Amino acid sequence: MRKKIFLVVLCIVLALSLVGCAADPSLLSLAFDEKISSEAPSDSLIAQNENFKLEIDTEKYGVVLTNLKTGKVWSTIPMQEGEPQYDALGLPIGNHVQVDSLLLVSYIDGKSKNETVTQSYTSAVIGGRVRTVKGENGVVIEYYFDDGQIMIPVEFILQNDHLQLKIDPKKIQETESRVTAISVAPFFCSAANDKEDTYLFFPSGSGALVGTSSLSPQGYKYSAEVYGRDLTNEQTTMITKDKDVRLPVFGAKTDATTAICGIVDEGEESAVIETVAGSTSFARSTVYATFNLRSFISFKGKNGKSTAKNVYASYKLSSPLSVRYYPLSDEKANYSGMAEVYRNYLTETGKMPTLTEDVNLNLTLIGGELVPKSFLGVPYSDLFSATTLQDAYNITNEITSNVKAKTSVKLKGFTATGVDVGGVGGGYVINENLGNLEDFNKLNQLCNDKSVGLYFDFELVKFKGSSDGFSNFRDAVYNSGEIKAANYDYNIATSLYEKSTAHQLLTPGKFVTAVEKLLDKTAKWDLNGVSLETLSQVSYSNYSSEDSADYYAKSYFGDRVTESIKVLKDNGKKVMSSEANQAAAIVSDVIVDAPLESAKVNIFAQDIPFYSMVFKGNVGLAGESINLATNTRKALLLSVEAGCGLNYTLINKWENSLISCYSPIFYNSRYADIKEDILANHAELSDYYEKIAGAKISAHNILASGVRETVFDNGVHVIVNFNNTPVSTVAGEVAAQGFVVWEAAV
Amino acid sequence: MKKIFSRILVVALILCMLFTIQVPAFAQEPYDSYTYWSNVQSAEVEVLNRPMYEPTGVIDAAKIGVAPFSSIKGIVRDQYDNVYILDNASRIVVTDKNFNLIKEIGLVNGTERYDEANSVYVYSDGTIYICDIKGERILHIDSDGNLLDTIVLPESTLIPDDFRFLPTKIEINANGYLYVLCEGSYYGVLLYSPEREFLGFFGSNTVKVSIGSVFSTVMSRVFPNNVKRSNSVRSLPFSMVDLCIDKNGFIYTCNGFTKAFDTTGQIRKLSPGTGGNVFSVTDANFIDVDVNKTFDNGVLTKQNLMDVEVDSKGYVYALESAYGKIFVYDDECRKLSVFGNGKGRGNQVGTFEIVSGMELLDDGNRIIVSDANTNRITVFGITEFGAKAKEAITCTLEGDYEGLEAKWQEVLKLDSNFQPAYSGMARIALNEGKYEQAMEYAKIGYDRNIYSVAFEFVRTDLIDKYFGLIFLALVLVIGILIAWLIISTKKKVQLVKNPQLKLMFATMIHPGDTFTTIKEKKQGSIILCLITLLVFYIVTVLKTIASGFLFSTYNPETFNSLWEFVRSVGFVILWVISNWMICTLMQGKGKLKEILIVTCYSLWPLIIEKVVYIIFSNVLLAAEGSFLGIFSIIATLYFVMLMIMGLLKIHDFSFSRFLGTTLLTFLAMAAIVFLGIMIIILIQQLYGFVVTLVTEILTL
Repeated sequence: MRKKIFLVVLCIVLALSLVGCAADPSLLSLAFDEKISSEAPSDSLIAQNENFKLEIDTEKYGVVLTNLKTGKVWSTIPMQEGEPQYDALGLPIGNHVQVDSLLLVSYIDGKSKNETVTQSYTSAVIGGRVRTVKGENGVVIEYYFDDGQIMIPVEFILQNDHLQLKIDPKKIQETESRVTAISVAPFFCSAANDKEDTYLFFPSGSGALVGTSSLSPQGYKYSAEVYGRDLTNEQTTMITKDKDVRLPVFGAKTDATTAICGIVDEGEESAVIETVAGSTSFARSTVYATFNLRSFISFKGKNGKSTAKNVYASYKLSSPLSVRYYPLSDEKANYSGMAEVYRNYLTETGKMPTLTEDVNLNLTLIGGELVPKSFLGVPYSDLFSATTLQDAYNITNEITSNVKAKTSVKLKGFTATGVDVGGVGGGYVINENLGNLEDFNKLNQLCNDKSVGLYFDFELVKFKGSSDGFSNFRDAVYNSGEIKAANYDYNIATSLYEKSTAHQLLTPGKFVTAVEKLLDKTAKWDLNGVSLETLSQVSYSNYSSEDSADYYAKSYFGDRVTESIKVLKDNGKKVMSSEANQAAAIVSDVIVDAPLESAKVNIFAQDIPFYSMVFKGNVGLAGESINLATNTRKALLLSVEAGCGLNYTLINKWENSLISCYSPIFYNSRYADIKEDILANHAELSDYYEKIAGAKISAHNILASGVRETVFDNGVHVIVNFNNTPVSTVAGEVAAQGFVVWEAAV
Repeated sequence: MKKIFSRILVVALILCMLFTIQVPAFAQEPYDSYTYWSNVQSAEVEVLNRPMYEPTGVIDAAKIGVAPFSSIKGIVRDQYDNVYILDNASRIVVTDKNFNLIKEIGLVNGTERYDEANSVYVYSDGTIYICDIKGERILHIDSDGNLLDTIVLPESTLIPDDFRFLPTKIEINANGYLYVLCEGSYYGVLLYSPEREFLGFFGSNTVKVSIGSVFSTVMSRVFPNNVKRSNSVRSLPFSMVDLCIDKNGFIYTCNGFTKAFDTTGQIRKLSPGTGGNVFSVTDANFIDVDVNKTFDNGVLTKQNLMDVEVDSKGYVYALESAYGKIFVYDDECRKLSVFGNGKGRGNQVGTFEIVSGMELLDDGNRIIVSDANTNRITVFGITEFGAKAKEAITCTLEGDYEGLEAKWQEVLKLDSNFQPAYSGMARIALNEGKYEQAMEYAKIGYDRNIYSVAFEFVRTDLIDKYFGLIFLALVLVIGILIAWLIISTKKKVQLVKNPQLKLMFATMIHPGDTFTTIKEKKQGSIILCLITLLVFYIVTVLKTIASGFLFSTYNPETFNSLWEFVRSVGFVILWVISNWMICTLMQGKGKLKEILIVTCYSLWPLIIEKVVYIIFSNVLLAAEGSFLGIFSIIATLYFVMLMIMGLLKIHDFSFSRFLGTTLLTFLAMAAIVFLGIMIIILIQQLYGFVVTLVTEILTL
């Protein structure tokens, strides 16, 4: 009898184990249809509205958009410009096959298991099959890549002022191969090389323009993930710092009077913005979006003997992917026009926030950092009080008594572990070394009396250990190899990761819970404003079996961020974000550390304040910390150019134990050292801020090398001279490293 | 409308023009700028700081207005700061310091190529020397490319037969002497007279000999095999990779990567006369501290200095090729600033793929660095902070203290993390006789030298001020002691009446008698042993955490008194048990209790030494510290002597048997520790297994 019971129990355990191994059927891909035959459309005209008509190119299976009023044409597959050219045999020289392809597809070959890149023109149009199905106000083109046994359906929808390209990953067919990434219309936003009046717009940091001069056969390639790299892909070295892509938008000025702007409106977290500049093989420079369908982790060979190998997740993401393309012409055919289009897109889709609080001056006060201490020779960590709440009170009081500006104060590093990573939300407590609730409420009262926005920063993303109901085991994210993902700080000299700084990331599915916990734990605080610095500027996947497939390849990360911030706002809190991604920016009251520069990649010819052009006048904006910048004057001028408020990072007290901090927040932050600069800078800018209060940026112009003009919608212009010599402008002479504000009739 | 359109057109035209110029924006760099704090718990620590230099421009062939470069091999300047860019395609592009084209120099005499030339040098007369490594010659040409003469391998008995003339660098001093660096030359720099007469080798590196290397060589020779023979190389000094000459004629040389864990002396400042290194710190580390010691995925992270330059103020600049970093040092070899990066993949302004050369413009206010892969020259300009910091350092080193305090205050205002500022402020305070303030600044900046000098003044002041009192107290204490000794001798008064306590303290004075008493009369107290162990542990911890600043290397982050407990008390207990086990097997007569008593009673010299160290390290200057070292050696030797005497007595061993058992005791200790570690690892693995099991069950 005992044996029987034992066998039954064993069988149940085995059965349960096997059930655990089975895949969720919704994650499985559709099988590749090998038999279906090609089907061409009966008519090349697909759709038409009062502005545009959409036609299909049955030779290469792209689409052509024509402006019915001006006759201007935009084609997903660029048409050859100029006279036809012929090779030595007298055959016409066509486009490069990649230029003639609507899709570039990366996949793991089912048989060889190698990573392969293929393009729709050679593998589907010529070497495979293409099937078109009429859709509502558009068409669905199914590209059958017979060599890779993959089918990708792309839906083209003509809207009032744009063309939308959609891919539903659930409808992708793949039998043995695994699609890892799809580049959509890679040459829709492109310009012929060496052509006058052309450039590409890349949304790195504040935004950057890329030149289109011929460089080399392969050109110069650069790509950046939207909302930053997937933090679950562990990196052992960090050589340089990048300015991430905060906005899922890109564009190209294709000639003197036409341009095109692309906006990734669905699946933006999974997108990578790529650019190829100056490729003589393509004869074009281009910028486009690529969607990562599967995350990967890189493995290096032992002893560095082989190159890194990417191991991809088994299942692809499920969120829909969509890019909108807005054709622009005449005076709108430039990056100011692109900013306007993007602004309108946010407004029309209900994403653009309404201005609640303009910010001319933001003070980021740093509470403290954990420093090594010892009791009778036993080491422990204790918080060094760089700024107590009483100090914060004094600083705020002193500044606001001397400055008549719209001021906000951000308290960072005031929770249990200061600026170091601790429990989720920093334990939702004020570190006792820095003060108590009474001190905080006193500071809050002061801020209320002086109409200063006070924001208390909570770390809801990075955490160490289990606390407040969040488990280090259950609530941490896992990478695509289903290993708990660790993040680190990096040694500034060797660029290698510091193992001792390892910490986990909270699963996106728990963001709302973390915010609810925040509201619950701070119920007794007089807390009006919450700052979510990290949450507003990162993105990552989660392949934990605890969660659904929602967060594969970073998908839906932005939605969770937006939702969690909305919970705060629904509870009457104001929200401050830092260097915010679109997902956070659209629900924030104030954005500090608004990017004012790009990643300064070699091909970036100019930085532009695109980020501010989108959000100024809709959200309170303050730039990057002036006092932490290498060149404080240039940092101030960048804030002026972008119409952003000034931002300072401050501490009250410094000691040499802070030198081990890997963040630059302490090296030039002593309030006593900077106070005079804050007052002087504000005195210089107070008139300007008064004039541009609540105004939006309507245009931006680069007048000459280092001389830039920003135009506000209330008729105020500011010309900023970054050069070391004065320049003459329409507004008179602008001093070296100075600016001039002038007003024109609206 | 027309106006708007024309304006757009103008803007468009300007834009078009701008795209031919690479102008970076400038508020934050894509890399970390950092400095080093030295003497922080006897170590160098990398610290983020405000950049001293920032990228202010990027120059390429298009901007200069010449055909694209094949590969920029190097850049140099002449005395007017004109820049000479050596292209790999037998071309030298000459620009002014603002990179406006002056001329292009092509083939020598219109026919001779110098592809793959390694470097050029421009003499004060405007003539150019090209180190044509492929042609094994140096071409001396005029500014129009006409050949003036050629320098080849000189004929001299000083030159070994297998020497190949592969010139990589050439420098000429103010007197016209030529210094030529050849690839793979271990013999030093080739020195020529102004008349081109070969004078000999100059300033060769020396072979560093360590105990480890000697031991390794001896072992290889004692136990040779084919692999060792094939791997064996003659110990040769490292060859130099670059040199430059300062305004006083000193020759600066640098080595590239030498060997793993060898991180000092990469840059030398050679006397033009003797060739000796005249840097005040000869064992300074000129590269990142942890590099050459750290492994990245099993590969040693290396740094190779490849270019060295010096300005008129004595600031030294070095270019490192593996990461693509620029190091700036002052004349005292302090690393002031490190910036740049890329590690072969730099695609942002200020980062590099393959750096190929560095040059100074405006006497170090601008640094230009070329990249052989991207064919771009990055211009780094000095920042406001950099200019102020350099000015303050120069004034401090030159002893010009007028207005210096304000300068250092300005520097500190811009960057609290700049260690030289605290040293500078300490020096000023010292100069002004504010010794306590000087000590305070020196302590913040870990400047033990200044602290020591200031402390000496403070101590002298204290002694001067309270000499009468101190003298009176001393006389009083000595008098009381003498009186007590006399009285206690006459009246036979005993300070310590407890016989066990008396026995313990008598160990130091009459060890023979004490150990005989312990063995034969079964005397000795276990409780006193444990108290002694506790005291030993406490003073050991206090020696680390309570020593004076000048003698302390205490790091609260790494020091753990619980670990110290294991190391001190645990070691003693391990010793006692191991010795008892071994000696029992070797017919030793000592019992566990006796071994413990002998060991613990013998610890008292060490305890006294530590107490003395704690007291005197707070009173003495660093220069006076040798006394403490000697005292420590004496105390250790006395402890060893007591242990030997005690063990010999209780085990009744001959000396040879004692040595044998002691050796075996150490082996037994090692075996116990090894077993302990194995057990810990097994427990860890068991824990990991349980955790995995639980995880699997929970995720079902």
